[in-house]
Amino acid sequence: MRKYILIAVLLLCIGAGSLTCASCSERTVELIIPSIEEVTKNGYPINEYGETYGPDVKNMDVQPDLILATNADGITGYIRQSELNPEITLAEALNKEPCESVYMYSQDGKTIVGKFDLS
Amino acid sequence: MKRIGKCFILMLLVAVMTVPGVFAVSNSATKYVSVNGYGYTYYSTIDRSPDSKMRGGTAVRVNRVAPTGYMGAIARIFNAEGNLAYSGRWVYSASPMDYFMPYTDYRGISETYYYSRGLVCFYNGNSYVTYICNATVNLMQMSITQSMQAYYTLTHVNENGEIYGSALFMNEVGIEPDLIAAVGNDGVEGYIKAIDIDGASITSPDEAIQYEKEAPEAHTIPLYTDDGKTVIGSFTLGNTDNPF
Repeated sequence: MRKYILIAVLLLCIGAGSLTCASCSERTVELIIPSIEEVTKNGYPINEYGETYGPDVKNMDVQPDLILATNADGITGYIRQSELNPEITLAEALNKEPCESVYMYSQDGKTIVGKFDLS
Repeated sequence: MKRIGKCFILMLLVAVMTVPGVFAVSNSATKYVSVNGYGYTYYSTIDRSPDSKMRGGTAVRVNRVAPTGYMGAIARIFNAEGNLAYSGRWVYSASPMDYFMPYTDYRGISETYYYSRGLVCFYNGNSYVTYICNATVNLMQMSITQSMQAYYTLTHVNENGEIYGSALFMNEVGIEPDLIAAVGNDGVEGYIKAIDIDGASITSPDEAIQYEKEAPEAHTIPLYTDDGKTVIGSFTLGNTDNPF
């Protein structure tokens, strides 16, 4: 009888362990940051949705779709440049409401990791 | 007592104002583009306030007054690794103008080196075309105390009042050293004097011809220790073997 209880408890522990691990891996998306050397040599990497991502590189005139940023709370992610500057007309440009903040994403451009406040 | 107090404050203010690097501004190289008949010169700026806050700016100059809303600009500050630390919003020219320069606010940022690199957009009659400005040099974030400390530890003055020290630091703050660190002939390390180099300056074509005719030995100057008096070797100007 004790043997069966022991096995049951063991199985229960393993079960509980794998359950928590599964939910852990779903929540965390590891942030991939290409180095300046990588970007200079190979250009900006492209995510599964066709957007380029990475840091600003001083001696390159190309900007990525998703640019590396760190907010005031120290959270690092990517902001989508086009969210700061949607294609607009002259009238819209002069009348539009000032943007307070933009979302910060992981390199997939979909997973929100934080908020980046603008001045 | 009151008189001494006021005097001290005045001296402190003068000291702070004259320490280089406390009020620091830097502009990036300019770029030029012509859009819809208007010639735009655009560049990034970065400056540091006396209380060590950083601010980025994006400047646009036009060759003639451009209509309302023809220019848009955004100022952004990055750390040395190209990571965006601070961004302003897109700002558009709200009246006809030929000069436009929005800034971010002054912000205290945690890391040490930052540069400014903005974006601009110009109206071509149908839509806006976006261009990227050049980046400024990296500017160090430091408090007045740190700035003064850096000045006093990275620059030195010998008993003759000659200035020497960290070439990198002095270049950033705009100090011309009197003694320049150099590796002389035979690989001896020491200092050469700025005035000894200036002494070979040419002011007329005749002087240039004469200079070229002279043997290299004529253009050899003394190598000193940091006291600017003790000669420990020589330095030949125009010597390409010398890493300096």
